[in-house]
Amino acid sequence: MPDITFDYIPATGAVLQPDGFNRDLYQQTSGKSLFETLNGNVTYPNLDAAFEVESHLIRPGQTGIARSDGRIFSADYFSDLWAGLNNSFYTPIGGACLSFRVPYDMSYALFSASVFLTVWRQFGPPDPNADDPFDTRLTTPDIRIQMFYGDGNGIAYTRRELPQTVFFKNDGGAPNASIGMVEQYTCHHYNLLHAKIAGKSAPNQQLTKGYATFGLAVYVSQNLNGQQTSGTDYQLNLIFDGADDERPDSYYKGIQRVRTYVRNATVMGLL
Amino acid sequence: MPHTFPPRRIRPGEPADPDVFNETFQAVAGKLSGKLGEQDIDAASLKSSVSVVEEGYYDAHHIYRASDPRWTTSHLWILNWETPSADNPASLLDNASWQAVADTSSDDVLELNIASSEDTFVIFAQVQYIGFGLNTPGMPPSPGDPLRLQFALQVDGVTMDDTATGAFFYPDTPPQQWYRADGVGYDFDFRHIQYIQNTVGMNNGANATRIIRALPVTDGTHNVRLVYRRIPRNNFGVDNDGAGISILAFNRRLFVLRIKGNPSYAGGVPSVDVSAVEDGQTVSLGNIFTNSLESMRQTTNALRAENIERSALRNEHLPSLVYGSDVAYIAPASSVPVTFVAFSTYPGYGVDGLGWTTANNGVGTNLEITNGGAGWDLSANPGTMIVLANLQIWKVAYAADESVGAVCVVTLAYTNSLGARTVLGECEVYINGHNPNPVVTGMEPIGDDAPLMWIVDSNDLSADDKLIDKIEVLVSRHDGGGVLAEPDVKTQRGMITAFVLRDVHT
Repeated sequence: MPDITFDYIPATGAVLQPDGFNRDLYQQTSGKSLFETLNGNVTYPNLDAAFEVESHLIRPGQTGIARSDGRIFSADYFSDLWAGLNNSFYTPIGGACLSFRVPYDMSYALFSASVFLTVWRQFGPPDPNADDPFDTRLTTPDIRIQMFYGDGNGIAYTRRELPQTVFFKNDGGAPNASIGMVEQYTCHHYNLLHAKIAGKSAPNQQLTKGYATFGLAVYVSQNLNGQQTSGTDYQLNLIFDGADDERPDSYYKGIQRVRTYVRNATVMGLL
Repeated sequence: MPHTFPPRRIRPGEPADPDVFNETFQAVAGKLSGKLGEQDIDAASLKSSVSVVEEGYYDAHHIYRASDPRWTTSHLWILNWETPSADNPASLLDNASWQAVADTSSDDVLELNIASSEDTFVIFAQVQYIGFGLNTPGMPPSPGDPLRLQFALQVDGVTMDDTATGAFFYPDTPPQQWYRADGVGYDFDFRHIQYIQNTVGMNNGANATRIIRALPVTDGTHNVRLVYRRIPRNNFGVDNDGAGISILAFNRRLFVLRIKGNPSYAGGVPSVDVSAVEDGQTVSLGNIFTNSLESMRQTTNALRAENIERSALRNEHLPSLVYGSDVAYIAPASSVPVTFVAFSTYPGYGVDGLGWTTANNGVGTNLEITNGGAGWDLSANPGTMIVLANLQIWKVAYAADESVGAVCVVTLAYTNSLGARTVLGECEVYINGHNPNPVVTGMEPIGDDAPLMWIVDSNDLSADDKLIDKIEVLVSRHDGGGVLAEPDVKTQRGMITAFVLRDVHT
């Protein structure tokens, strides 16, 4: 309401008009009485010209929120845990996900998901059907991580495809014959970000009041169990046929894996 | 505060009773004396017009070191790492205990001491490290020299476990794999895999990391610092020949945004001047109007902070102090070779030149933001600008050499309204290729991610630079392996975001 202007201003020597006095205290017409203004109708014009919102006037939590969660124990994600299924899904990484309440619409929200991981994505596994398995090397299925928001909404720009782990040729061939399988080459710390901003379009649209879930998920594509083929779905199942070796014919399964170590998820929302 | 109403009404012909006047005045004066609550204040009116005292919502604390590894025109891993005092790096000593990242030259710790009430800290830290080969300081660590380096945040002496950039417990050996193929000549068994136990920390020769963590804090002064440790081998042996790998931290930054929660009251006391009506006093214009109703009217027409109840204002009353927030991304389905100008290389720390290419998706979309085309006017909206970005570095390699000295350089740059571009040396990130192919000569993809962060107080920018048209992610390359050839770089997905907190200064 605008500044209060009284209807009734008594004059010196005049008889006090009770109705006028009462109306100066309270009447329904806006901007005419004290109680009407002070009961929910204090507006910007009522403020002193030098008024500024000071920190102590603000209810805690009303200008922003920030939450974190994390885990320190490692967790492994394998390619063959669900053998026989068409595992084309991302699995949330426990400890790198966060569900939280959004108390009001946020002007700006930043989502951060961090993980240190090592990847065992085999590099060019030998083709068991080739005369020289190392001359014909196969490409292993993808392993990826990606942030998600809500139920199943992956954020494409946060997707990180993980490289193949070096596979060692053990016959002394150059150049790194003495090293072996060097998973240490594919140790990564990722700190991936997603932002939601008022006025932007998906996937960056405003973070609005309610509940929200986001986090990091891992995708380790399926390696069907127990089948012998050179097809891309089965390439890691190599037969050891026994004919060229003294050990009995048997299947050996190569699995792909991501080990997640310390990880963390953080959200910051600003009014 | 609940609504209040006149406790009594004055009726015509009623004898003047001082209590009637006083009770009525007290009801109004009481409300004006620091009792105006959230329900009394129209939210929309305030939100659209009210000003906020400087740093009323947030404050910001920032420390950084801009440290040049002096990768200029030399074809070396590093030119003058033996004289670090010139560029103020931080030595990262070979010790398994958490230690503060401190300047080598002065021992000054990268830390912030922040006085707070019951607030929430949002802590951002970033650091670039570079390791050096054993006995070959001009070369990067070989593939067999894992660094096993971790960083973490520490608050008030307590390491925040879930911020460690590696394995918290060690040894924490991944499950070993085994694998066989047919053929006598290629029979192999990797149940005993060498070095696999060293996958406990960042390992390659040059990389950067960023840590973000929120933390509620209590009243008091809090120390926030970036710490590191170097994990021993599984067999507790030292690196290779016993000399250990030396590691330096170069560009490094610590930023804390404090979201104020429950600050102490430091304002004045409410002053509402109302005269009481006394028994036997003559009813006058002064005592029932000028010194009461009119006085309270004037107070109501010029309300001050002390008239309002503590913690009365909610988000509905409060304007946002976020200005110029923007985000952009690129998401090519497969990796994109960075197209450099022929024979161009890294122009130097914070130096613009042909060696830089804007990160892009390969089909014309650059990784850059412009605040929706409006740019940022930090003269009219002074405050602290926060810029964050990520870019996947898929591969860094020489065309025909497996040296791990191939380096990709990524940084941020801004262009002011006059069209002048500033390359931010303090944001430079260096990542080397480190995944050699074991069968044929060459390097495999690394799949790393370049984290970028720039924090700037508008007070630290020149008048021209306070008008920013564009912020972009730049990519360059450096021959750190002495191969005398320029590495190829492939990038993939990335994002950049920025926002300004008005009236917040570091």
